[in-house]
Amino acid sequence: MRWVKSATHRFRSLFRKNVVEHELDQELRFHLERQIAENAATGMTPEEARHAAMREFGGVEKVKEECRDERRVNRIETFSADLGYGFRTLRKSPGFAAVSVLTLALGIGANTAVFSMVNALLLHPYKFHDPDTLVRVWEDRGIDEGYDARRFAPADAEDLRGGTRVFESMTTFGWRNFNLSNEGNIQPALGCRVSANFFDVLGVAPAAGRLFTPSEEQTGLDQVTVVSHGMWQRRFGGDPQLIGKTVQLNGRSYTVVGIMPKDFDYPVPVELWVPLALTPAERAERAELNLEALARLKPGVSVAQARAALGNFSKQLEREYPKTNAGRVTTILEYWS
Amino acid sequence: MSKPTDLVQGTLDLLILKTVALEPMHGWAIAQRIRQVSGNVLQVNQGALYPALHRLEQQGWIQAEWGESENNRRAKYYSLTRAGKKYLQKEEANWQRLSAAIGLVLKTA
Repeated sequence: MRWVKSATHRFRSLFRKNVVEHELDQELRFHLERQIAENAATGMTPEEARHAAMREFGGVEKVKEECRDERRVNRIETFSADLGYGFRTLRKSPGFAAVSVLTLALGIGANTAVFSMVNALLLHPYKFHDPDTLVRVWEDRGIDEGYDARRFAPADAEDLRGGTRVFESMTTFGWRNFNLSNEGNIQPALGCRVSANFFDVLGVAPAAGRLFTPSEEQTGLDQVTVVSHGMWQRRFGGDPQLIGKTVQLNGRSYTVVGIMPKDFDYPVPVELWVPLALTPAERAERAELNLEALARLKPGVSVAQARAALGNFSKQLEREYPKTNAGRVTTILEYWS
Repeated sequence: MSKPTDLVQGTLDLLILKTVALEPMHGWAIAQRIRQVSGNVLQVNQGALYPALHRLEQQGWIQAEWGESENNRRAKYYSLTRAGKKYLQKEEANWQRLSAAIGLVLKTA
């Protein structure tokens, strides 16, 4: 337990300076008094005894300083020795060193990642209107596809939108990568194609301009875009005249009709939104699950009730389209869970 | 009686450890004991004694405790730690080896 003692010592020297100083003073004083008494016993006068003791001892302040040095120097020496020992040990076993460094790196990385998510989702939540009734909806195929793979077939979504009584509204969306060019610059932009009611379902209003109209869900009328606040700042330099201007997305001209508020970028990290204009063939797609969906529960409908109703809906689809929909279960989850 | 000899470098630590191995002792007594036991040959430089004590304490070979002295004064008593006991054994063996070797050289060379 030698290290415990020496650590205690260092701690005392560091943080209890006055106590240590006082003790040092007392210790040396005791020594001198004993020596003076000893000298006096040999017949010296008190004055002589005192001088002789001081002479033999050497300067009290000098000795004190040397004692302090022993503690201080030791602190630095021990620290650098510890450092050196650490490095030598790591060098001797590079495998262990690599594993340690990797473990630390992964640990720190994972924590950072988790914190970023918590920070984004919990500490800075979007200001969605009434988040308690907002649910994610997807078709579970019985294979674990992860959070990102909670998707919907467009035709199934269409049927559900028209046929359910548990949802007040439902909206679909899908990611789309764009090359955005304006004034000769081309840069990638992460976009999202959304149903016209997307923003209404989430309950957000634009900071400027307008959102999409149902008629813009048709090919040919869909060349309008709403940009995020971040995009507006980064890409357009916060241009106050941006609304009404035209930009090129994948070579097609789109008119900027709206800018979203600063704290809205759902689904993260989207930069712009365009209408989800599906061709009749795309609309009839049942095999491929290529959309995501959000819905609002009707007032008074619980998640459990909605689940039961959606189970029936899935069974009905399964009967009608056994080829594509066998084993598919429409599932919901509260947005916040 | 010849003039007391100054200590060989590095032997002060060994003498202190050996002295406090017997019983807890304060600095002044340690110096006295060394002088007496060596038959007044070894004179501990008092200015060097205390830095050495603090160094040994810092290294963990000895530990200090405040106690009452013979004349009812508060004094700092040093005693050997368990690690110090081991260290002392090792250093004693080293010293025996060294002095035997020097003796050998002086006798034969």
